[in-house]
Amino acid sequence: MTSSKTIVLRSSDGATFEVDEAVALHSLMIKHRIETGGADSTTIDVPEVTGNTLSKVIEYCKKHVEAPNSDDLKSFDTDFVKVDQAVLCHLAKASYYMNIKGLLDLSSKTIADMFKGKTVEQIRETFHIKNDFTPEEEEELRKENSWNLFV
Amino acid sequence: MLAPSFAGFEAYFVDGCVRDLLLNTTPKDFDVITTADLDQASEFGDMDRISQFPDFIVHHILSFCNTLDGPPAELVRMSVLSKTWFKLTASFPILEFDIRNFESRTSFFKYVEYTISRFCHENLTAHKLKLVATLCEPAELDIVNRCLDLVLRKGVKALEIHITNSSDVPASAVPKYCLPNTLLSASMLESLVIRGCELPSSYMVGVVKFKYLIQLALIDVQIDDEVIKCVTTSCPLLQELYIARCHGFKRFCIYGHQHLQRVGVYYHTPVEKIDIEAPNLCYLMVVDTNYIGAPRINVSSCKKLTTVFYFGRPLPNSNGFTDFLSKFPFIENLVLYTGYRCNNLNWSSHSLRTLVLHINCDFKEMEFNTPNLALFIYARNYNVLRPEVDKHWYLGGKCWPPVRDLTHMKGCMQCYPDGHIDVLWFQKLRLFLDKKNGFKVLNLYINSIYSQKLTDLEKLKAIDLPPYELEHVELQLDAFPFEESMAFVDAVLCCCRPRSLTLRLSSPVTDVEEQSNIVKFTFEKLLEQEDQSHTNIQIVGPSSSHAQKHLMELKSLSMILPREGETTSFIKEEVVQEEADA
Repeated sequence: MTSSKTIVLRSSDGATFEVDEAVALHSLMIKHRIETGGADSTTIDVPEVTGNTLSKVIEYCKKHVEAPNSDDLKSFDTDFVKVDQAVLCHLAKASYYMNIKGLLDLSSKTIADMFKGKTVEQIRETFHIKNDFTPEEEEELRKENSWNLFV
Repeated sequence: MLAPSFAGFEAYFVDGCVRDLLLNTTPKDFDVITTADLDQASEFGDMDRISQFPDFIVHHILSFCNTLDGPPAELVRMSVLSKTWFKLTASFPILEFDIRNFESRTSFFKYVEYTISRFCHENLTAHKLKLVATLCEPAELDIVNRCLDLVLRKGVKALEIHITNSSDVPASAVPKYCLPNTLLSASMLESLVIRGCELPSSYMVGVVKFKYLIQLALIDVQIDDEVIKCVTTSCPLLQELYIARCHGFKRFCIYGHQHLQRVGVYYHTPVEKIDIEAPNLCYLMVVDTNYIGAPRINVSSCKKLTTVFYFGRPLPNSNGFTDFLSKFPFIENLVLYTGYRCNNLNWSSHSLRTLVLHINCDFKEMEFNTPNLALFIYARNYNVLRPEVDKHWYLGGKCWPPVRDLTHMKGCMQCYPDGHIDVLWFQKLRLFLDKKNGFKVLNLYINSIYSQKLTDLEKLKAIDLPPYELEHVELQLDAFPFEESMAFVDAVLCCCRPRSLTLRLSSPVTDVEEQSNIVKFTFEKLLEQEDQSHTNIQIVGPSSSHAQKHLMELKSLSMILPREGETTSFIKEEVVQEEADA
């Protein structure tokens, strides 16, 4: 009985994670590395992602590869993104670098939902965005956008 | 200030305690930070991360912010967050404008101009431009022309233009919108939808000369036969072609197209013929919305054409139904909507697996020779199925019925009768089932709008046929008072003897006692059909703990459209009795 092949993923801070090849292939970036890397590619470096984030990403991939048709996949996804903003942002970046469409869509949509219904000030506060417009520039913007009631 | 450390990290005293120590006063508390914390802080602390994202991710987030039914308030708000965000929103390559989402025409056109000029300032290629607008005055026309020009010059991948004249305006005030020549320069176009605009005849054919085009939809546009013929040579990669309410063409002919997969022809002026030679064509939709008459159809070389949707009058007389089916030798799924009355419906096809029929024809006129038919949906009430159909399909929408999910079904018949259901109807149903068409599951959805009280049940019982054996019956009765529901249950159980029955009642009045009466009644009727000493009937009510499991099993037997109302299921089980010793 053959055991399925495992791949080791190494994060930016040196943490290593052993995963089934099938799970690792959920990341198209890893799939590409394996396919072009030659026979000896059992350890793959993922320098753009820290260990904490990588372990979460692997959790996502595992669930989606091992039980793609399960009824609780939706609720898994919903719960998966109930995390701190920082973690969510790390997940978005990681899914982009690792080319995992499902996770990128999920995290992007969650972030987009955080913008909904907030005023400009509230958005700045939520995401710690610094308003770097000068008062004159801001006045200019307000004038430009005065024809709509959106701002 | 260095503090004791361990585990390989260094620790420092920080904050107020350092100050106090330096001032030789006693610190109130000690704050410590370690190099471990520093890493943690940068990984998990509060900072502006989103502004640092690669543009791609920000744009991806913005694409989820587009509201479908309101003005793009979020996008505008985000543009004033900071200078970085001003630039990020300006370079967002998906430009969608729909005048229906705006309350004022002025703000719509100002928004279009503002957004497009900011975008073009970034000197980028747009991914998608969607412009849905009506025109009231020349100034608006100017804005549209200018903006379209700006975007098209830089190239765009997906273009959707829907511009009509406002109905409040006389036709003479503003000329019908004519697409600019710059459209032809968008050579990288992959998806093109044009609605309501005018194509100048000088380059009418040019509208299909986009060699990377994958999807093309022309709606309410004047075209001619040449345009369609040109599709093969000019758009070799085309996969979906949809022509709706376009006048000016009489023949829809496409020969030798390798990539075409889905075609829709929706016409309101006579079409002589539809002739398609496309080895990968798998979906064909023909809609003759005014019942003008059927074109000559030749698609016999399309070996993958398994799904056909036809709305109209396929043939002048009903004898031609076999002819109709034979036009599609590889057909597996047929949806046929035809309003006219016919007799003698003879369906003969080995490949047919699902059939959705909306036709004015009695059961006794129907004859099926379709050994592989897994699902037969019969409705005379178009409105029942319409919402499913309308959610439709062009340019990537799902086609209906969801044929891929139905592969597990065998011999399921779903009936949405309208018109008066009486005992005679049930008699015809019984005779129809008897024709050995191979149905194992029957779903009946009866609505009281169309039916009245069932009377004369004795006539039904007088038929000299035992109830037809079925695996499962689902009966849904909408808005009937409970006593009348019992008559229907009785009638159904005269016709069939199912191994399991699911009852779904949605009635305006929910009286627990009446409900339990009907459950009891159904239980007794079912038991009457079997050998009482050897049969047990399990009742699975909506609140039963076994409900989930059983419902899942029963679900697999039929395709259920989402329905309201709680179900009660009755499952017959054989009880093996132990033989008493002699």
